[in-house]
Amino acid sequence: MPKYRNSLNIDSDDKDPKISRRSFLALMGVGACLIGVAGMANVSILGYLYPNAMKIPPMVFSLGRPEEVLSRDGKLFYAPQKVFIETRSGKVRVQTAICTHLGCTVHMVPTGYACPCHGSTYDRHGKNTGGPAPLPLVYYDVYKGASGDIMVDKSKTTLDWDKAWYPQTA
Amino acid sequence: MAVFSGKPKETWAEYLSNLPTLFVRSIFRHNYPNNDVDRSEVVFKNFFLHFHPVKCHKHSLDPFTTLGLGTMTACLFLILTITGIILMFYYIPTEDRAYTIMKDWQDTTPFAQLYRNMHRWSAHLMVLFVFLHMARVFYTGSYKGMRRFNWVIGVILMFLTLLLSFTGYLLPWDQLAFWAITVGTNIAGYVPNLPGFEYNVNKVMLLASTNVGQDALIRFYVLHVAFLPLLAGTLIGVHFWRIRKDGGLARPPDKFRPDPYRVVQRSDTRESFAPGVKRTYGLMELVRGTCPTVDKGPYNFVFTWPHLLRAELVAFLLVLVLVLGLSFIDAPLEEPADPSKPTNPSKAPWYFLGLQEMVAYSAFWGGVAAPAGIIIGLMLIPYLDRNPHGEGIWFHRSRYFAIFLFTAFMTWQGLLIIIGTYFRGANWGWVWPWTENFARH
Repeated sequence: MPKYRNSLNIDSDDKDPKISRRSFLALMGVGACLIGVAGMANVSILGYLYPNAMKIPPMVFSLGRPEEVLSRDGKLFYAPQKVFIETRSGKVRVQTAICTHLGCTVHMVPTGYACPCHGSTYDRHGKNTGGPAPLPLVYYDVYKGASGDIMVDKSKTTLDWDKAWYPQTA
Repeated sequence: MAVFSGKPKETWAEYLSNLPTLFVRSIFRHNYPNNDVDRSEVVFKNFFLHFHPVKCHKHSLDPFTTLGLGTMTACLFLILTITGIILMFYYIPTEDRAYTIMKDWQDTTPFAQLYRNMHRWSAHLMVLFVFLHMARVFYTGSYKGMRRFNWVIGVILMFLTLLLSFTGYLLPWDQLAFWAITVGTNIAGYVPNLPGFEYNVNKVMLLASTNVGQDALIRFYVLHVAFLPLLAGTLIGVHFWRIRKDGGLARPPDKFRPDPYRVVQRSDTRESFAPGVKRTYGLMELVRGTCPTVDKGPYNFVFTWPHLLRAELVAFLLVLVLVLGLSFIDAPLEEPADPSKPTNPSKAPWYFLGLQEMVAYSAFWGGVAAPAGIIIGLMLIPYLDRNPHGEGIWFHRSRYFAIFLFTAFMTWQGLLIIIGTYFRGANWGWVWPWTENFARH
């Protein structure tokens, strides 16, 4: 502190350019503590906001009894799972309807699929043909479940539109 | 001989007759500001006014210096805070109730629609005025010199305003809200993940899940009503405080600066009437200069009360009238959120259509890299622009290149917004606004 308040009698130590060893070590210690606290706060908040148990919908869902599913013909949009179910001459394949760009739901157009949000286009096999979509629409694995239902496993995907059919004839 | 022996005790009658004055003085610690002393005291003894300077430069008060844009933005933030708190009394952030509450407001709750409209249009106006304020500060070169970092704070505040708008229009949980969250969090998913996390950590931190649902709504609600307003409010305080600490609004140096002169006695202070006191000095602040100025304020400075406060009141009333006028238009509410099917086309509010247009070229480059580059680039402007001229002057001639670059940038963003608004139809395809299948959002 200067000797007199509001005076210009500057303390001689005030202009000392060098930090003392004592102050330096104290600063280092306090700094390390603060960095540690900030790190712990960061990690805890990150962990808190990334829960271990999340409500993720099941990857496997049922299409129904084979005699119903395989007797239909044509391609239809199944809204609860956001997939297209295509049935042709007793075979079925299931394709995602979620745009690979930013997750909007694509819909069928004469040339294939189109996304209403950012204009991605896909051909009728789901191959990305235009717009910002970086990847094609995948097919999901279809199999017969233990109950006899036709099941779809979203965790197993393929891009081969011929091999996506169930049942496989070849 | 009359000897002063202390103040005589006042009688009850005197006490009661003085009581009204005493009571008023116990609330306001100054007299009515009809003289210079009280005009100073009203500012620095009043909590609500003390972030003002006591005096401000005439140049800063000229309406064509600032166009009042910053003040108007702050007024809009105030209106948004008040109407937002009012809306919180009814709103419940749940998937199944949020939309019906908004819908019911139209019929069941008096004035609820008014407050929602005010909140909606104030938010849109605030975004607009933030952009206009930024343009004003750029074109007057007000980010130079001491004020560099205040520009950086301003850019952060612009980003927070956009985040507040984004989190706000998610809350009605209509189609717009649902698909905005979906797209917004998927953009966050393009930010590189931390190693060791199964799902993209940026996306999960926003959604508390991998897909949009109840857990996401409560997170965006907390961000909108608590986290972001507190952060923005704090930074607005710092933004204002720095204006004063950086020497007021940017202005060119005065052309005429008379030398300060000394007088022996101040004539306008109460202290000067005290017997035996010939000089009183109150050291209010230290200012740079060659000699102390007594009994004379800096040249061209006028008192905040009433000049600046009157200007602020006019700005506030203008904004309020504008918002109330716009509130005759009902805030839009789309269909309830349908997680399986977006509307076609699915358009964001106007201020994000530039972003949507960029994202429609590439998710990472348009949604992550370009916005981050724009924000960082804007923050760096005061450190890249080494031209010292043009501080506080509209369109200074020496800044032609900087002005050209900034105008080109703003025009580019404006064009993207216009294209997104008027030239995009079904499946984000190009349409002409005059064709019949044009869908307006």
